[in-house]
Amino acid sequence: MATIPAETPKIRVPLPPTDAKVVTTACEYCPVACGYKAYIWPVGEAGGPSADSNAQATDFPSPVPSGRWPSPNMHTTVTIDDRLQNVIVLPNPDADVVNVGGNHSVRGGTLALKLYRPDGPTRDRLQRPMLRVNGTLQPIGWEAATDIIAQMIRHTVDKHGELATGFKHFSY
Amino acid sequence: MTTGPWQPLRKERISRRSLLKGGAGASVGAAGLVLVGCGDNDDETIRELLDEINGLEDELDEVEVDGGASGAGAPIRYPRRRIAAVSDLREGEPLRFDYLLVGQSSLLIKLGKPAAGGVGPDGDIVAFSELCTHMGCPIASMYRPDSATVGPCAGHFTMFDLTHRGMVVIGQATENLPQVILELEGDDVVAIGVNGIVYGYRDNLADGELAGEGA
Repeated sequence: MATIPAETPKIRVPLPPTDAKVVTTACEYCPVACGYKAYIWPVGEAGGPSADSNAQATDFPSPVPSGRWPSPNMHTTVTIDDRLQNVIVLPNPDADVVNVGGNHSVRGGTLALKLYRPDGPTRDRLQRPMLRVNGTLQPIGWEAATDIIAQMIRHTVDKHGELATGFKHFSY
Repeated sequence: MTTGPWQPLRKERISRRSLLKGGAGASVGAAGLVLVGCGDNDDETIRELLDEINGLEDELDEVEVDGGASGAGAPIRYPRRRIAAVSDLREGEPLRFDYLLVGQSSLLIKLGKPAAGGVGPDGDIVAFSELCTHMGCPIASMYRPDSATVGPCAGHFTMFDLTHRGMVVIGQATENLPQVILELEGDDVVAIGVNGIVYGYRDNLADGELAGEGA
């Protein structure tokens, strides 16, 4: 029983090259919102094992304990602008609150796996707003979706009061 | 047969098997090499592959790495290493050894209860990396014979079940504890591969020197 739905086990994880795109992000699995960094670069390119040859500025094998190791489940590939890209989501080593020193939970550590892949476990993700009409989900535009949501909230507040409203959202 | 995400693994194994059969005669394919990255829970497939490989060539001279840059799924062949004799093992007393590289410290343990991937007369001899897959703390000293687990790690309390391929029981790690794949050669326990990537490495064979034999 794997704790994480596994794709083909990886035998290596590519390191981000020095020119990889780096963005800071926050884990959304719980309200703490630990800090992470996402490294994004084209498949086919890779950084080297010395600190001056990868975007993590880390020598490999990475020190222990350090939280600087991109584990197989921290890596995925996605399509961005019609090009296959590597993505690694690692704890932000510069974070000075909450998850300092590269610490992460099993949820934050697997943030990369929640990215949409048509050939992966996220293939069933909704890619556009859907409206249930006569029992069947049908795709609608964002404008129509937000209009309907606004009108439903207005109607509920007017008829039953503010405490009758609530939101439920879902994330992988 | 399980369903869902595991199904592609079967296809992957078959395609690699075909690849190996078609290409091994013309390539290096040497005895003492094993194909890993084939999926969990399938030592039989690995052994079948080994039999095929061993029937083709005699000696291991070098490690062949043949992989794609995306990091997923490419065949890799790991060298065989004799670790210890079955008769040297005492139940619940781990032996430490390096495999594949110097510094990739692993534990060979006779658990005293049957384990997935276990070898020996009781199917209870297993080997694992001794580095926690969360942040790399060494956990060898935290082996618990009563439950055949290691942990809780002193760093952040991750525990791994050694009877279930190093599965995370509780804690923060995103990976199972990498399991060293074993087989018996007479009374010798021989390491033939690793299922998983050892903490800190981008590749089990990169950035270091191959370790020698023995515990």
